[in-house]
Amino acid sequence: MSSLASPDPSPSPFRPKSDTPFFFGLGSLSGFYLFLILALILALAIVPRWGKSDETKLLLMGQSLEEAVYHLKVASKNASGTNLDQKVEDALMEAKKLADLKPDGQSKAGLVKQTTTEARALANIRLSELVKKAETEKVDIVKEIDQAKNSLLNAVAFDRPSDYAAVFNDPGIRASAKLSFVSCTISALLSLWVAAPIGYTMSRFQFRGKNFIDTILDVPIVLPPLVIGLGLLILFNNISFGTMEVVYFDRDGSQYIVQENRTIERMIQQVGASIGFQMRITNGAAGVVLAQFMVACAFAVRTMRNTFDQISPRQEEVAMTLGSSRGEAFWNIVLPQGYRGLLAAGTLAWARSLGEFGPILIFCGINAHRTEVMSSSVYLQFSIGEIEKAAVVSLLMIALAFVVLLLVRNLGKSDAMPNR
Amino acid sequence: MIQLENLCLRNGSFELNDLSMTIASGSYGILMGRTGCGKTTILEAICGLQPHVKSGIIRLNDSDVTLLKPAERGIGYVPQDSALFETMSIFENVAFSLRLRKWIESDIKERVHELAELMAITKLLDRRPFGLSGGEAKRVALARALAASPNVLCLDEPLSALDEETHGEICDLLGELHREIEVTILHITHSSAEAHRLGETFLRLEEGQLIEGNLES
Repeated sequence: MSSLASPDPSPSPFRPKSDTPFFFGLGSLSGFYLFLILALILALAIVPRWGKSDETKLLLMGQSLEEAVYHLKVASKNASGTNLDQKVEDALMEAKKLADLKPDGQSKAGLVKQTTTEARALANIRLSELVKKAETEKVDIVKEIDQAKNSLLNAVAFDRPSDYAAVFNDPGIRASAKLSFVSCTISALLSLWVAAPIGYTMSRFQFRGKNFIDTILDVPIVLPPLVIGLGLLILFNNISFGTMEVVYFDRDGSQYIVQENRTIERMIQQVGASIGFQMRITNGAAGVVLAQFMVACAFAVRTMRNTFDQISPRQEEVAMTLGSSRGEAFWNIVLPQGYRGLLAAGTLAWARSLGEFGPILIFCGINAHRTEVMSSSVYLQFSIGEIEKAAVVSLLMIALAFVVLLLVRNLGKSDAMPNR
Repeated sequence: MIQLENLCLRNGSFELNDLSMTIASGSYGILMGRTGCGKTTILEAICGLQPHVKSGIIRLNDSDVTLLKPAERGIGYVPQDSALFETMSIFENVAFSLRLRKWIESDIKERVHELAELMAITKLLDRRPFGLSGGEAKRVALARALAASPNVLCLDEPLSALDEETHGEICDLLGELHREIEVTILHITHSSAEAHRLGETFLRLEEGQLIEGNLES
């Protein structure tokens, strides 16, 4: 008998395992993450308040104004017989008039506006004065007046515009959105410009110390971005090359000269001044781009290197035998093949730059209209307790990123290379 | 003419020493040897793609090209995988070397169509390389290599990885080309049938030694 004869049939016929658990795992794990992302965006979208309708505003304001009237009534009772009597009575009358919310032939929006203005004036000017006088004259109405004041200010607060409108109309945030878009685009282009040659060199050539250089290129990826900002700041502002004379102008136009450290920043400013420009890196838009570039470029370099690694050198070699120089082969053969990789690296660098915050904060600070980018805006709004506005700016960032990434992705698809 | 004189090559830890050979002008040279014995390394050295020439001289048509860049050697090179420029149309592939030489557009058109007719790829000119069959790709690669009328044509296993029918077709094409065009050919293969059919000068790379002679030796 041949040794290759089929083995004894196993007790039960062979059945391959079901694919269901595998697909279940795939679906549940990716679904979980997708769900988290969506939940996060939804959370950001829920928090900001849309403006209320004028009708609702009037209703809510009416309630608060009634409260104010009540407190003032108590106050006027307490003040009767003192020399503040008349003043409290006047305030009470005015509050009553406000609480009536009579349109007087104007629109609801007009009424809201008028009421808020008058209520604010009543609270901040007349009632504040009353409180001071009551304190000096020792009349026991301070508590009641204060409460009335709070109620009036509550009524005013109902006229708050929607957080979306507040953010979109804020010139500082508009400027920061513009700066974000422009600086990210510039730093992404710069990153590509630098990353393509580095990636090509690292992919095609063998040389001594290559491993070392490779590691250095990874440093910006490994370091906390904050440290990069710190390093830039020290490099530009703290390391000095001797001293130099800096001319300052006083308010009256007189100038005085101060000996200061000759830092790179100062030297750049001096060069700028000599050609009639005000140039600054730290504290300027150029610094924002530099801080973004430092981090984004490292990611672009990784991507470009992988791209070139995947492109066989064969086509370049053929091009060279056909008469191309190395440069021509790079531009005509390698770069067009690496088109997708370039797009990917550019997108990554752009996205990275948009999210950059730490190094910009340290290196450039947050100056409205100059170095404030959207991530700084989020931080600013958050730090002054305007969580709703911070959420709106975040949503704006998400929208901006979404549009740009989608555009770039489509650009990649429209390429006539279905195979890559 | 392709002539190697005491050529020593190094490619990483791989070394070939003291290689000498001559393929006369207009002759069809066949270089045979086992896989991995260094045939491609020699071919790349002739094309100037291997910067690892330790010593020795490479001559093409009586001029020393050892230190010249690949672009200056006047070589047509067809690699094993054809390596067509995938971002360009077939027309642009073939016209590549002519564009570099700043030919005027009408001449380029004429030359490309002439070659396309010779290689029977006229129908493909507007396409991109993606999706070409192995035989078609080889024809395009040959047309591209021949466009600027090189003196020397280096073919790296041009017939491997082709099905039997295409193999025969391309084999016939190569023979025809050799008869029609004044060009020195170096053809790497490990098939002695191919060598029989096409070759005039035979070389065998064995244990690091180049042996000249006829097929049987």
